Amino acid sequence: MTDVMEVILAIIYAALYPGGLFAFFMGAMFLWSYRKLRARMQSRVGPPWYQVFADIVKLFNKETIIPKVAHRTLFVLAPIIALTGCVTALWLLPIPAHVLPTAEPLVSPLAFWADIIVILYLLALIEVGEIVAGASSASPYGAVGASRRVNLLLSSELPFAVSIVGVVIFMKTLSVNEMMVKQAKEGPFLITSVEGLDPMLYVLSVVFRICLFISFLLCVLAKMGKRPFDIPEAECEILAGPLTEYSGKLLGLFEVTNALKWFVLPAFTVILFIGGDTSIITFLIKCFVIVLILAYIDIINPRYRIDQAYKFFMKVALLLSLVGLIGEMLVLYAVVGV
Amino acid sequence: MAATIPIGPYHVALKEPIFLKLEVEGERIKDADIKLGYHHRGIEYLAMRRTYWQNIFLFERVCGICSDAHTTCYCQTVEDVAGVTPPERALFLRVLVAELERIHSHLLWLGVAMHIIGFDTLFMQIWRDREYVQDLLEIITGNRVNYAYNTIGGVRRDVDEKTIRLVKKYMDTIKNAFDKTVEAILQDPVIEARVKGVGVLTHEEAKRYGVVGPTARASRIASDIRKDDPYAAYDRLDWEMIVFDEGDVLAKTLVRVYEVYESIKMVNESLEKLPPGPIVTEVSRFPPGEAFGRVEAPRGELVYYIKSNGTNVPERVKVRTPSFMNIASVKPMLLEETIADAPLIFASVDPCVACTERVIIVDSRTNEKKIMTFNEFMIRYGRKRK
Repeated sequence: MTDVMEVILAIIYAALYPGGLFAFFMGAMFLWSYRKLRARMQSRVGPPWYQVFADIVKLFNKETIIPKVAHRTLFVLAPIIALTGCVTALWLLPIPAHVLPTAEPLVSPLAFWADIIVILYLLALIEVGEIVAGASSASPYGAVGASRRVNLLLSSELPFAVSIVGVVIFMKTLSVNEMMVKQAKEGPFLITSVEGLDPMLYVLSVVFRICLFISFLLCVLAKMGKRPFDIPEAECEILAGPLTEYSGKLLGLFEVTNALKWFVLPAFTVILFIGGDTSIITFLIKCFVIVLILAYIDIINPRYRIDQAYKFFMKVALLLSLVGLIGEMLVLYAVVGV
Repeated sequence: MAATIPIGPYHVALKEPIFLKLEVEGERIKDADIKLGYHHRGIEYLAMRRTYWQNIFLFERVCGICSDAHTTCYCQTVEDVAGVTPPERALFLRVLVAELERIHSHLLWLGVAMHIIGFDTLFMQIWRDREYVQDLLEIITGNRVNYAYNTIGGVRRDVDEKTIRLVKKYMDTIKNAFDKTVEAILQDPVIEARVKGVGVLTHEEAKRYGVVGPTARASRIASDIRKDDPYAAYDRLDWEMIVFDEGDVLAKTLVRVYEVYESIKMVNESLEKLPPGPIVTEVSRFPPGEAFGRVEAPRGELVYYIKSNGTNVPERVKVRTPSFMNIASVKPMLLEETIADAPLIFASVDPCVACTERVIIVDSRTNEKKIMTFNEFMIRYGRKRK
């Protein structure tokens, strides 16, 4: 009997809450709030709240056209790869289940001791999906878009991983779930302290952690394809980039992935840096703050060229994350001793 | 490995149909081919079928953005043929509308340039500020786009005291709004990274291609018809020609930015110096003869040639638009740049494709292309008027 209950719970977990419908709805809301904010800051009216759903419903009702010259299997597989990566990463994230703060957080059925590494790869899978889409569509715009996506992935993945290593070293765990539990006890990663840390070192340590956070946010911008790193989809140069040839249901799948991305990436950021919630409400507020930061950066920036973005990630983002990581390690070393 | 990237004939970055064929290696452009011919309308032929008065409305519609420059040039040239001089007040009013049009055209270009480098916020704000100019043009001329303001021998509508006060008030608003825009453009590091040193047209290349207008002035060619061959009331106004040395997209942007300031100055000055009197001189006859006129359109030197045979229909009207000179110069600018910069570089000459189209005859059997003179064309296709 308990087995049946567990299966039912797992299905609810995967399909309704927090994976699946709930995440999709929240992602769509975050995407809409970004679009609305952007419109208002540009003196425009902006879309109504149901715009994202309307778009997706419309796309799923339209004919899907697959170009004759495209590689058919890969062309169909690409949006599925991206969606799989996004949804699986979502299932691994420990998202609070209670409205009011409680003692026991919800644990993902899939969670294990080193799931952060898997999440890192799954998030890259979303971009791999886009690369496959661009490369298989046999369109020059798609090919250029895919090559730009590869460049961006190569340059942003290193600072992204280094920032995560910084968090992991401080938390002494590879499990996102344990990180969440630990932060619930000791306060969010960004401002938490270690026993025996004197105030001067504490301030220094927070500065290093903020370095990690900024570097991480920059990489999240690149992963979301937002300005100044929306180079793969630069519509003035290469139309829709990798998605140029997509239509109908396949494009709809990409749109679903995009909406989910707006929940997964802010949620991942919150869990790593300012997490520790046992209530879904504070968790969503924190996610919204991250969405606002991303939206604001997107609104006030033009677009870099791909070579400039590559240099930016190698010179600024990687440097920031390395400074954060090494500084963090030195502070910990000073506290713990040899 | 070289690949071909088509930009156009229909493309988001292009407002009008033109085809840029880019040969690329990776993201580097190795060769560029510019193809026109998607938008030919036969304006010059139409002009020979209409009377001088009807032609004002035709040339108004050569270009939607510089419609005032076209009619000014046409009317000036016809006035030359007819041997009449417009009254002083009309000349100042022509400057007023021409400079307002230059402000709106340059703001439009700035907005498009910002959109191309992905700065949509600034694009929206510039176009929002441009609406003030459009409102002013509507108040002065009655229309937002094709103003129908010039007529042969003067202008069609006068301004009153109330309008003058309104224009001055709006000019302050525009200047304040534009100050903020310019600050944003000049201080943003990402904009600088995108436009500085990109798409350089050297002084020598610029001379070789014979570019005109802001494109030429950004490459150290001090050429401005308003100074070189003053028409309307430009010789009675105090203003400066903006010239930059670098020839890159940044210089082309700055030329236009500072020209907006000069234009705001000129609008205010022309209103202050506005003399009283009539606004139009009567024209009744068009004696045989020919005339050649030019004005400085927002995009550069605009040339009209008109031949009259004594009837009320011109025998020949020839139009040479500034984009006709400028579009070819895109090629040296594009070479060795990246695809990401191509739309920006192409837009940097502010191309106006519809004005530029010419007839090209393609013989499909021999695949030979030649540009015919108008006479040859007319004789061959049997529509020449005897």
